[in-house]
Amino acid sequence: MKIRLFSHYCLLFSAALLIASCAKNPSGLPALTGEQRVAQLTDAPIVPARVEESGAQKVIVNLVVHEVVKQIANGATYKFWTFGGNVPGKFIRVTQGDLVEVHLSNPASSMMPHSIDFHAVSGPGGGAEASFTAPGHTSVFSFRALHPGLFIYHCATAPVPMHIANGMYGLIYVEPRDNPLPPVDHEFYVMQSEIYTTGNYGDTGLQEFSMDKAIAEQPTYVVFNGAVGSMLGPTALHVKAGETVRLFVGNIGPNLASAFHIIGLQFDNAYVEGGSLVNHDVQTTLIPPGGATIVEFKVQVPGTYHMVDHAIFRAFNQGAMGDIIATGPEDSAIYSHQQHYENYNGQ
Amino acid sequence: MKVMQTISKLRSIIAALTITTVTVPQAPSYAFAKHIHPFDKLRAGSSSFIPHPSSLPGMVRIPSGFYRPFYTTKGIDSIRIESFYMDAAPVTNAEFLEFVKANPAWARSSISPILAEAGYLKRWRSDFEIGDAELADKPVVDISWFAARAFAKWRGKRLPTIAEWEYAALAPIVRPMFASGNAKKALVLEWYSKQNSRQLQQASSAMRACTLNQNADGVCDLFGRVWEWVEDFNSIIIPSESGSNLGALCGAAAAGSLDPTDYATFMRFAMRNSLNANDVTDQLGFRCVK
Repeated sequence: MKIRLFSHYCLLFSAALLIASCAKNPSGLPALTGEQRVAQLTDAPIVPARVEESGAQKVIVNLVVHEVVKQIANGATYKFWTFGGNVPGKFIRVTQGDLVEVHLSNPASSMMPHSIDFHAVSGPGGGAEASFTAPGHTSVFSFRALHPGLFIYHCATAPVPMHIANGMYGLIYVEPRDNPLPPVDHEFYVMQSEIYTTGNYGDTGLQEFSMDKAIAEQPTYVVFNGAVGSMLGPTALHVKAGETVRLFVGNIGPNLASAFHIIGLQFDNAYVEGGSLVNHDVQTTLIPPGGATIVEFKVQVPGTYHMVDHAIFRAFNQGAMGDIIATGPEDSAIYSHQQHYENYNGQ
Repeated sequence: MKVMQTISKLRSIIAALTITTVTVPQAPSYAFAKHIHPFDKLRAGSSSFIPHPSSLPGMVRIPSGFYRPFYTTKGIDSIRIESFYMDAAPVTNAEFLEFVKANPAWARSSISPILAEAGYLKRWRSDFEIGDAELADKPVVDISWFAARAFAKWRGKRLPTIAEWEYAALAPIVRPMFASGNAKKALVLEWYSKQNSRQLQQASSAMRACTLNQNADGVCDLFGRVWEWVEDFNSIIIPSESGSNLGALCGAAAAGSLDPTDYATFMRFAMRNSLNANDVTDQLGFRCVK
């Protein structure tokens, strides 16, 4: 009888323990709501809208690798390896505390095995080993988005530099749960990258990867969103004067740090290295290879604003330029345009 | 799945042990020449670029020599490779059809998913029919390691080890142009980057064996045609600090490798490392050795 009672106490005790452990996650993570969603993924320059969540939830991210030939400049093409068919890869937006379940698929027609290293993952390789996927297969792994901020993801299969140089990168934004970014009129996705080809800038036809130039860190092209002119002319970004703009900017490199600058305006807010430190009134912000930043600004008056890498030969000679075109009424109190022009005879 | 992985892991261990037993790390005549490529050291001379006569039809003789593993392992400087015969070209669909006809258990509709996953021989019209006549002389793909091995056994042959395959691949290329050293590395990398699109582009043209390239030993199409199964495909534990296989993935790979600029070889090792023994893919075939 005594023994039976004792065993009952044991049962009760362990049941109590179980309940306690269910109520509070042992690792101190926020409890998941039990809801789940499939993440909306977008191609640059589009950013998915923020999703209102009642609490941390499971977010499923479906990425498919495509090895495709795409234009890098007028008349020049390159065989890219991509996350989702475009360069840069899909933009992913989750909220801090979410359980991100990544499904990485590599079609049977692929030539290479691929993988993904999320800089937002807390774990070895950023998920690279867990997502190492032969052609014709899908890998699934999960991670908790512990740190808020803007993070790079990229392929991490050997030879890693070539997988990266060939287009396998993108951004994931982990929104802070308690203080999400304030609303703005426009959000855009911009990614700087280098392309190393055996041919010269301006050569036409299918361009080959140059390992020599890549090791020497002398790119043929430095571009925004995968190609020269990706945000020029008909594909420039359009806003209205007086509107607020937020850019999620990544720099995959693979080699060069970006001196990211927009000609004709200042960043009201620059989220240094994509993290929680916010700087203000910034002209040029440094983005290391494998890093990112968020910039916010107000376009005060109409006109064309050039986004550049202010290591300026890259903008002028290698393609690192994109345009934001603002329309709307002039405000001469802020900017006058040319008021007077005359001959000058002085020495 | 688990069973299959265990089988393949066991195979790998056995294969790795087999290699270890033929290791001659302290060959004194070689020790002083550490920085000379084994091929240059061991095969420089009058007979270098003349294929060795072979009495076996469709096979060429690979002379013996030393192979320095691409991923270096403590205590192993080089592995002695005994002379062997290698198929001059990858196994074709027509050849594989003969095997399937003689061994119906390996037909598409009969094979167990443990031995080959879905997609096995998917380009064929039916179990015993290739269908597309132009496919007959092209390398067979969409076959598993188990199937490749069974074919080899049926032919009285076997699959090459990684060391043998890579050793054979060290010979200079002689067709369509001569290339060795860095020029060869660049050429092979270029072929790899075109491999996929070339296959698609030339899908309609006749593509018999030995059409793309040939090396000094007379081995054809080692590069840029299809990836090839090897006996111990997943036995290489690529070094990494965590002790896991991350070396295959991250920058650490370069630290443990013989030549961090040899991207083409990194690709082969990454590909092999990604596979399970019942995997089939559109770019993966094989050739045999004896």
